Amino acid sequence: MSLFWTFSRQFFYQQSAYRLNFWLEMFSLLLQLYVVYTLWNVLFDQAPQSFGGVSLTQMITYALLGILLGSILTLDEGVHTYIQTQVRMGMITSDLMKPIDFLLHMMARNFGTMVVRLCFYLLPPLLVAYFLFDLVLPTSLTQLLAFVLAVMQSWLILFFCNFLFGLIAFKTLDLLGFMFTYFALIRFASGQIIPLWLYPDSIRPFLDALPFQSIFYTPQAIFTGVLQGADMWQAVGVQTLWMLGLFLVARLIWGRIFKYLVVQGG
Amino acid sequence: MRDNLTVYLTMIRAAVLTRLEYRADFLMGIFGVFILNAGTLATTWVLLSRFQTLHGWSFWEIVFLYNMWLFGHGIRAVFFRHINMLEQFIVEGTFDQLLTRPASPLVQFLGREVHYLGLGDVILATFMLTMAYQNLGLDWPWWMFGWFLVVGLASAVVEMALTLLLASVSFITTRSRALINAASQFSFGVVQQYPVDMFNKLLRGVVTILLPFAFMNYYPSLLLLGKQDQVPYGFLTWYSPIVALILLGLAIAMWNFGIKRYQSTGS
Repeated sequence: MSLFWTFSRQFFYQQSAYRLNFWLEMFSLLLQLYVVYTLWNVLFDQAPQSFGGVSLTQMITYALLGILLGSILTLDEGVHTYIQTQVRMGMITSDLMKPIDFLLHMMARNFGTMVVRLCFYLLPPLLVAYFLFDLVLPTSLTQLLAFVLAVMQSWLILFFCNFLFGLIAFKTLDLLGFMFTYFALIRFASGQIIPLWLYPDSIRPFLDALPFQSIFYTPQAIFTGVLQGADMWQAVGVQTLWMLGLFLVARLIWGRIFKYLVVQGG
Repeated sequence: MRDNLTVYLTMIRAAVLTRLEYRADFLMGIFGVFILNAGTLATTWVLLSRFQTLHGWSFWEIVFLYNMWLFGHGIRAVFFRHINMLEQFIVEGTFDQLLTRPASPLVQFLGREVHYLGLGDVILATFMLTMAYQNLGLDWPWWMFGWFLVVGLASAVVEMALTLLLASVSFITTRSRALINAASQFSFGVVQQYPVDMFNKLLRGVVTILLPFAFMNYYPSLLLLGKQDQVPYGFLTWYSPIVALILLGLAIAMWNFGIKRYQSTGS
C-alpha cells in the first residue's frame, strides 16, 4: 500500500511546482461548469416536459458532476499514454525490470495521480459549485456510501479499459488514430455529458452492452437520486462484474504479450 | 516581404515532404479525426432529437456552426499547429537555432512544420457544411460563396493570431502552454458548438472582445444562415475579416515585443 502513496507524494510535488497552471486549470473547469449550467437552464426553459421526469436541479447536478468526475476519470492522460510514451522511447524495459508486477505498478502510478487530482481539481471546485449553483445532495448515508463505492469502481473500470487500450501500443507503437476513436466512444456512450435516459430508445441496448455507462452514468445517477434502492445496488453490481471481467482480460492479455515481447534496443 | 515569402514557401515544401514519409499514420489520423468529430456531432444529435432546438437554433444550424469552426480550425491546424509548442521550443533550446540564421525568426518558426491532421478537419467540415446547406434548404446568391471563403480564412486567422499572441508570452515567462489551454476553453468549450446568444452578457463580451473566438464561427454564420436580424449584435457578422486583420497585427506586435526581451534558457 505504501507504494500507492509514494506516487501520490511525487505527483503532489509536481503539481505544486506550477501554481499558475493550477489556477488556470481551475478557471477552465469553472467555465465548463458554467457552460453546462447555462445549457440545461436554456433547455429547461424551452421544454421542461422533455427532461424525462427529473427536476432542473437534479439535471444540473448530474451535468456538473459529469465535468467534475472528468477531472479524476481522465482520458487524455493515464496508463495508456504512459505505456505509449514508454514503448516509443524504448523506456518500457526499465518498467519491466522493476521487481513489482507491471499491472500493480501501473495501478499505483495512476492511483497517485488520481488522489492528487481529487484534492486539487475535484473537491475544491465541487465546493465552489455547491455555493454558486443550486445542487441536490445525497439524502442518506447509504446513498453517499453507494456513490463513493461507485466512483471507486468507476476508477478501476476506466483504469482497466485504459490499460487494455494502452497495450495496443505494443503492437502499433502509436495510439493517436485509435485514441480519437476511443475518446469519441467513451464521450458518447458513458452518459458523462447527456444522461442516458435522454438517448433515443433504439440506442440504449447498445450502450448497456458496453462497460462505459458504468464509468460515468452510474455514479452520477446515484448522486442525483435517479437510481435508488434496488436499481442502485443492481447498477453497482453491474460495475463490479465489469471490473472483475476487465481485470481478468487485462491479466490474460498482458500475460501473453509479456511472454512474447521482444524489445528492441531503445 | 518577398524574401520572407520565399523562405516560408521553401520551408513548407520541405515540411510537406517530411510528412509524406509516414503514410499509414496519415490515413489512421484522418480517420481518427472523422470519428472524433462524429462523436461530438452525435452528442448534439441526441440532445436536439429530444429538444428540437437550442435557443432557436435547429440541429442543422448547429451542425453548420460547428463545422464553420472546424473549417477555420482545420486550416489553422495544418499550417500553425506548432504555435502551441513555442514553449517547448524555448525550454528545449531549439528556438535559439532560428535566431542564428539570417531570416526572420517568425517566418522560420511558422514555416517549420505542417500537420496532416487538420486536413481531416477541413475535409469533414466541407462535407458537413454541404450537408447542412442542403438540409436547411439554403439558397445563397453567388457572391456569398466567395464571402464564405473569406470568412473561412478569417476564421483560421483569428485562431492563429490569438494563439500566437498568447504563445509569445513565453518569451518573457518561458511558460505559455497552460495559458493557451485555458484561453482555448472559450473556443473548444463555448463557441464551437453553442450559439453564443444563449449565454449571459459577460461571457458574450469575453468571446466577442477580449478573446474574440466568436468571430471564428458564430458571427460569420449569422449572415450565412440569414439569422443576423434575429439576435443582438447581428451586424457584427460583417466584421470577422477586419477582426482577423487587427488580431494578426496585435499578434505580430506582441511577438516582436516578446522577442526583444527574450533571454535563452541556456539548455
